[in-house]
Amino acid sequence: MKTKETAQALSEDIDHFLATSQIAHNNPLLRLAIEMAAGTTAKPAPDFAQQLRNRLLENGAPISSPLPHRVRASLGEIVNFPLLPRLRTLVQNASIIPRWVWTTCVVCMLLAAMVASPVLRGPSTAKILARTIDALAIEPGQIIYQVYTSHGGLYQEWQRMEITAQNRIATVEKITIRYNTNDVRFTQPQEWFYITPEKFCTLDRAKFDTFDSAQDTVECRTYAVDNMDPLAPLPGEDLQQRLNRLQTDVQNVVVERSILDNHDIYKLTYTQHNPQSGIRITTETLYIDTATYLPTGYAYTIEPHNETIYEWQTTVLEYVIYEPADLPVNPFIWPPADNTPEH
Amino acid sequence: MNNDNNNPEDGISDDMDTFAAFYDDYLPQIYRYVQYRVGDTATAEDLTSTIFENALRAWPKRRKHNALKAWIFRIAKNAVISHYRRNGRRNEVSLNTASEAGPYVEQCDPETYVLHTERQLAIHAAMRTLSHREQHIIGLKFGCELSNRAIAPILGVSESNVAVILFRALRKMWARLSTEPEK
Repeated sequence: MKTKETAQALSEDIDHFLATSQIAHNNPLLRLAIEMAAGTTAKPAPDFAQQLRNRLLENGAPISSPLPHRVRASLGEIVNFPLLPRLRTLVQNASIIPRWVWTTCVVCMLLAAMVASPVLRGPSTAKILARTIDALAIEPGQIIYQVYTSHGGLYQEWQRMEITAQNRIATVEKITIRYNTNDVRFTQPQEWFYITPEKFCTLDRAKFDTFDSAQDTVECRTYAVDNMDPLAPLPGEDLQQRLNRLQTDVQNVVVERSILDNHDIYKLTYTQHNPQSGIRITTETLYIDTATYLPTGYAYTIEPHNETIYEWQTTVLEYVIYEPADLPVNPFIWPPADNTPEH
Repeated sequence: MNNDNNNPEDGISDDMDTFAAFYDDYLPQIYRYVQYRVGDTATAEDLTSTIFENALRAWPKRRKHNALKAWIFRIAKNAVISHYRRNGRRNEVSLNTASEAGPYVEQCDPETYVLHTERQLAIHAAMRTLSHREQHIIGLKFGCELSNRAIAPILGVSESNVAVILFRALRKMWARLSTEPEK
C-alpha cells in the first residue's frame, strides 16, 4: 500500500476512534494515536474563561497573567505537636529547681515510665494495621460510601464490592460526584465519574444540562476490549488491598500518634525505594482514627526518575459501609439521574 | 465544533460584540490546543490569555474574514513556539497537573497514575522532536479532535496532505518511543 493510502487509512481509524472510542485495529501507530488522544478532555476553567473574557472586553487592554497556580500542599501543616513548646520551657527552667526535688521527680518519672510504658506506648504497628483491616472488613455486595476533600473539590463516592474472578473482594463498580468545596449539602453536582471494568465515564455540569438521557453510553470511554468481565476488579489498588500490602511489610511502616483536624490519629507512613523501576520513591501515608480505626485521610508523594515530585492529599470526612438495601436509591446509575443520590 | 460559515465575522464590524462572539466560539478549542501542546494548565491559561490579547490587538487589522479559524490557530501556534523558545524544553508537568487528575487518581492508584503520566511525558517529549508543522497538526488532531478536512484549511494544505503529514509524524514518534530505553 502506498504511503498516501496507508496514511488515509490511519487517519480514518483515528477519526473513528475519536468519534466512537472504539478501537478498529491493533496497528501500533493507532495504539500510539489512542494514547495521544487520552488527554483531550481539557477545557478552560469557568472562572478563568469568565475573568479573561471580562478583562478583554471591559478593558480592551493587555491582560496581566493569572495568579500562579502551583501551590504545594504541605503535609507539615496538618500535623502539630502542641506539647513541644511547653516541654522545651520546662527543660530550660530545670536549673532553678532544688536538686533534691529534681532528683525525686526524675526517679518517680522513671518508675512511672517503667510501670506504664506498655500502656503509654500504645498498640504496635501490626496491631493498628490489624484493627484497621478489621474495621474496614467488607462482605460481597456491600457498598463503601465516602465523603472526602481532595484536588480542590468535595467528593461523594460509592464503591460496590464483590468477589472478583481472582477470588478476592474488590471494587467492581464506582461512582464519584464532585462538588465545589463549600457545597457541604451536596446541592449542585459539578462532575460525575463512573467506572466499571469495561468503561470510564465522565459528565460535567454543562453537559449534564444538555445531554440526551436516552443515550446511556453518554461520555463513556471503553477500556481494553479484553477486560469485559463485569466482576473483574477495577484498575489500581483499593484501601483494603493497600492495608494488606502494608501488613506484609509491617517492619517498614512507621507509626506516629498525632492530631489531624482535631482527630486523634495514627499516622502510618510507608516508604518504598525502587531504584530499578520507573518510580524511584513512593511514600504513602494513612491517617487512621485512634478510636474507630476508620481512615481520616491519605497522602502520597511519588518521585519518578526526573525532577517532578507528585503529591496528593485527601481528607476523609465520612466513611461508611452499607448493605445495598440500606441505600434508598441505587447510586450506580449511568447516566446520572437529575437528583443526587442520597446516602 | 466551530463552523467558519457561521462565524460572527459575517457582519464585519470591529466592535467588541463581534470579538466577544469570536472569543466564546474559539476559546474552548484554543485552550485545548494549547493545553495539549504544553501539558500544563497554568501555562495553558497564560498562553491562552496571550493569544486572545494578541488577537484583540490585531482584530482591527484582520483582513481575510473567512479564515478566522486559520488566523487564530496561527496566533496560537506562534504563541506556543515563542513559549518554548523562551523556556526551553523543560518538563512542564507539575503538581498542578497531577492534582487535576482528580478522581482519576483514585480510580486507579497514584503509582499507576504516575506511570501513565510518565508515558504521557515520553510521548510529549517525542512530540517535541517533530517539526513545528507536525506538532501543530498533532495539536489540532488530538488536542482539538479536528478531522483532516477541518485541519486542511487551517494549514493551507490538502486533506490527503494532512493525512500524510500526520502519518509520518506518528511514525517518527513511534520509532523514537520504541527505541527509548526502559527506566
